[in-house]
Amino acid sequence: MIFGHWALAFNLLTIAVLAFIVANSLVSLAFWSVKNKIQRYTVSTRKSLLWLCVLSPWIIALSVTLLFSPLFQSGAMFVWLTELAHWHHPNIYYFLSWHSISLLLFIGFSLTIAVRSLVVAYKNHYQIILLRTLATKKSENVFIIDSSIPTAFTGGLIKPSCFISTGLMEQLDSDDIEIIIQHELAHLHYADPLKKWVFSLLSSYFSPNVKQILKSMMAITMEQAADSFFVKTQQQAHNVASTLVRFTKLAAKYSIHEQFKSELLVHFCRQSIEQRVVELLNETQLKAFPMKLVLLTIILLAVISMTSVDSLHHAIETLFDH
Amino acid sequence: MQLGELEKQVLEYLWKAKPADAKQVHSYFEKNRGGSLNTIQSTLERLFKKDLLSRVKNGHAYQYFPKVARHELIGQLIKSVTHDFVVEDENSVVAAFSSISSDLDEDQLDKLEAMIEQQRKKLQTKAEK
Repeated sequence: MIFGHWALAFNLLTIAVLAFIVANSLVSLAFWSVKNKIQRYTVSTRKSLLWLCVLSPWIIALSVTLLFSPLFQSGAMFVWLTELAHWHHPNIYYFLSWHSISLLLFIGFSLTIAVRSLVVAYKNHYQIILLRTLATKKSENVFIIDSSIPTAFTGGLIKPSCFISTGLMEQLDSDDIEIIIQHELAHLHYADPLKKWVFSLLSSYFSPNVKQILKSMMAITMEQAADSFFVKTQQQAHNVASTLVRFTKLAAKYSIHEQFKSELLVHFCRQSIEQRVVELLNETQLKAFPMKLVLLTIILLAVISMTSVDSLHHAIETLFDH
Repeated sequence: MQLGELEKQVLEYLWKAKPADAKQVHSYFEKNRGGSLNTIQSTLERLFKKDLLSRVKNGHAYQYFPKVARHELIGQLIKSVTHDFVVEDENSVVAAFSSISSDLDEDQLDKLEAMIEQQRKKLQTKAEK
C-alpha cells in the first residue's frame, strides 16, 4: 500500500484505464450503429470520422482522468462534479487490488501491441530499402521493379516510395500507367503507409469485428482519396474508373496462378473496386463534417464514461472490498 | 536490410554469373571498378551474413552463389511488403457489412465497364447540348 502523490498518480492511471475501457465500448457501439451511414459523407470527412473513432477513447479517457484529478475535485466551484463522480481514497493505493491488476493488464496489452507493430514497421522499413536498392529510379519518388507480377504500391513509413512493376508497365498503356502513378503519388502525398500503420495500432484496442471494419473502411477511404486526388473533371474521373477496372481484370488473370495470388494484393485495386468506381462516377453532393453532432457525441460519451467509472468503482468495491 | 553500392553490384554479378569464389569476383571487379581482394571478400561475407548468398567450401576457398534468384527475391519482397498492411480475413465481416465482394468476377467487371461507358456517353451528350 502506498500513500501521497504516487498513490494519486496510480489511482489516476487506474481511472484512465477504466475510462478508456468504458469509452472504447461506447465508441464501438456508436460506430457499429452508424457504420453504414458513413458512406454518405465526403471522403475527407469519412477519414476524419474514422480517425476520431480510434482516437476518441483516448481523448475521453484523458478528459475523464482530468475531471477525477484534484484540479476538478476540490473547491466549491466543482461540488456538482464531485457529486456526479468521485474516486474514494485517491491518496491511498493498494498494489494487491483489482486497481493494479487492471492497470497491469492494460500495460501488458499495450506493450504487446506496440512491440508487434514495431516489429512490422522495422521489417517493412528494411524491405522497402532493399526493394528500392534493387529497383530502377523512374523519377524522384517512383521506382520500377523488375518483376512479371503486375503490381503497384506505395511503401515506406518514414520515407515512402512508389513502386510499379515492369509486368504492369508492359501490359497496360501509358495513360493507364500515368493514372496509376498519380494514384500512388497521392498515397505518398498523404503519407498513407505511416497513417495506415498508426491507424492499425490504434484500432488494435477494439474488438476483432470492429477492428476489422475500421481498418477496411480506412483502407478503402484512403484508396478513394488517392483515386480522386488528381481528378479535376468528370472526364478524368471516368478515366481513373476505367483504369481501375482494366487493372483489376489484369490482376484477375494473374490470380488464376496460385503462385501469384498473394502478390496480387495490389494496393491500387485490392480495395473494393465497385465501391471505388461508384464513388468516382458519383455526381451527388456528399455531406460535410457533422461538427455539432460529433462534439455532442463526444461530450455525451465522456459524461457516460465518467459516471460509469464511478459506478463501476462503487460496484466492485462493494462486492469485493478491493 | 540495407545494401551498399558494392554489395548490390556483387549480388547483381552473382545473379548473372555461375557460382564464384572471392578471387573470381575480384578479377571481374578489378577490371570494372578496382578495389582489393580483401574488400571483395568482406563484401561477400556481409552478403552471406545478410542471408542473400549461400556458400560451399571448394578446396581452400568458398564458392558463393545467390540464395534466391533475383525475381524470386523481388517477388518475396513484394509479397511481404504488401502483406504487412493487409486487413486480415477480409472475406468474413467486411463482405457481409459492405455486401460488395473484393473478389469481383469477370461479369461484374464487365458490368462496371459498361456503367463507366454509359456515364461517359451521358457526359458527352450533355456537353454537345
